[in-house]
Amino acid sequence: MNMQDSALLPAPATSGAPPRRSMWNRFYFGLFGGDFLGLIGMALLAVLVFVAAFGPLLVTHDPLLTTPDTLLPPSAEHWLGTDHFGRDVFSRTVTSLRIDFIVAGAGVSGAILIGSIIGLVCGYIGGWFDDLVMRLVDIIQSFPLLLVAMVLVLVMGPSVESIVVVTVLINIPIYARVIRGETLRKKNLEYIDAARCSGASEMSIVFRHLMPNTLSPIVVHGSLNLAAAVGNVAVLSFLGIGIRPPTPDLGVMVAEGTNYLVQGAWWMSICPGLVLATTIFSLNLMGDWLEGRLDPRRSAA
Amino acid sequence: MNDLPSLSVRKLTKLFSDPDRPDAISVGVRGVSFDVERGEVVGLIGESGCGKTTLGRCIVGLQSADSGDIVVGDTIFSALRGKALRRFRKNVQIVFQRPETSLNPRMSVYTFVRQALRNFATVRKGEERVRIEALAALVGLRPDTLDRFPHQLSGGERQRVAMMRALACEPELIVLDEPTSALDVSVQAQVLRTLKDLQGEVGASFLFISHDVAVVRYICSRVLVMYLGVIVEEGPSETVLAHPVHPYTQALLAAAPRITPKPDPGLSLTGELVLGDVRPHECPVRPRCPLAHDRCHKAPPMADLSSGHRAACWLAHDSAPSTNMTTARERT
Repeated sequence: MNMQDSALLPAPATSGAPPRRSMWNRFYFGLFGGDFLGLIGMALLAVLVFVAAFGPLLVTHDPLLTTPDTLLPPSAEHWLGTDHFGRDVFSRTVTSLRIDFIVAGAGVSGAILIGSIIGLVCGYIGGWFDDLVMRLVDIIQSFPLLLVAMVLVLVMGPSVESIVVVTVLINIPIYARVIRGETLRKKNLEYIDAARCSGASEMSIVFRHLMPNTLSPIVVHGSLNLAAAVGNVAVLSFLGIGIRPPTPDLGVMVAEGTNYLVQGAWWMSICPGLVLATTIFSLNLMGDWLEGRLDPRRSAA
Repeated sequence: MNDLPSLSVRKLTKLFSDPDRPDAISVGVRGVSFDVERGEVVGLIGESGCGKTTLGRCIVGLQSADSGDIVVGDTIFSALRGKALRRFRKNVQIVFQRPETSLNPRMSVYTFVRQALRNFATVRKGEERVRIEALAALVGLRPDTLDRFPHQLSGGERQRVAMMRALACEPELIVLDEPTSALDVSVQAQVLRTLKDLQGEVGASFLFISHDVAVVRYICSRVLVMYLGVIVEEGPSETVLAHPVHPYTQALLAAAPRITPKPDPGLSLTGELVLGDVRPHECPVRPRCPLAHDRCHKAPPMADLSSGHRAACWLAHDSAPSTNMTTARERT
């Protein structure tokens, strides 16, 4: 702290107005630190989230309605053409994006919630409890995604819910581990002891004093994890153990489209494929940007 | 009730042994006893690693002792558990050494200090703001500091906030664990002045842990000198710091930097502390003491020299007015 003990001194006289910087400069250099890729990622993501959020208002056709106009190429009527059942590819892509965001978001949020609590409690209590629970977490982590997905789909049936549960389950270890590490690092700091001396209960120490100080790595992990989750949902759906047709999903659409690629109906799989790639790409860029932004060692400011 | 000391530490032992070095003597606190009278400011000095901080943490109940008692007023604090312990913490507070980690980075100063008022129900909810502003004035902080977060404060301000938190519940005793040693010298002086003024106003007893002799001289009326978990000398600070008796105290004072160096540098210890050389049941200073002799293989008793001035050294024992063997300290 190279600041002086300023609270002892009278308030400094207000100096002249700081030199004006344009809105754009303040936005670009202030928020993004001149990180061009971060800006691109956030811009792309903003568009995708907007489309997903207002999907029902943007679609031009009913995404589930089959018509006799099958395999039409992109036109003014059907912006991205139609598929083998005559359904509008644009409307289906928009609806898929919404579903995939919801599934991945719900899965990652659930994993963050459960994983953080596991990590926090294990790190704070320690001892045999910590050993036991963390070995269970190891076991979860040692199962490959596809195996967990197949078993759960077998048990719960193929549904959006089971994909959310799969996403939660396979991502719990990430957060449990990260938060446990943060908890171990922070639980012996003086402000925790100070809280104890101030008469705080154990519950209050864990959830009011410790938890808010362990959550910052989640932001970075969460955004990178969301990218992976969107991809995983698509992969599972592509393989037929995820979201089932006719519910539109990017993975399902790519899978269906591949059968018609040889017939020249490229729009059926290329369009949802591109949207999927852009989503994952922009989430990854955002994760990198957040990492640089939140890690003081990497931020220039 | 009122003539009971604020704090009475009785044969407190808390040892840490290094599993990699079984030959080395374990460090920590070994059988320490002393009292802090009501409203007294007692200094605890000694080099790094001598057990000062462990002693302080045991006193405020952040660490449980291996044996011995901490008595605060008429309550055996170290015997309390659960809710009784939590409620009793009101009476014993601590200010930590490092300003970077002593405040919760996610809490404003106001919220951080308020938790003590809330948990101990010291004041009614409507009066919290007034009370905390009064506390801020007491430690020399402007009221607008209350709504700031730790990263917006300087080191000196943070230590003042830590003092506010400790004072908030009107404790009997505050342990100050090197509260100024991490600060710039100029800020240190300001904070120490505040502490000194404060002590007179709130009337709590202070146990001031430090390795800085000058700081202790300035603020404390009585001083305890600690070496390797044992108190080797204690007494009024003028006496101990002007006429130290124990060779370790003499060496410690001689090592303190001065603006005009004395022509005679005085006694100094030989070498550094090697834990493997120290044997239990003998004088802990012996391996480094230039005055060590045969008798030092047996732990020396605490010799009474003059009013309140005592030293654990055979040489002091020889010159003591009344040879009193019954005050011998237990050593493990």
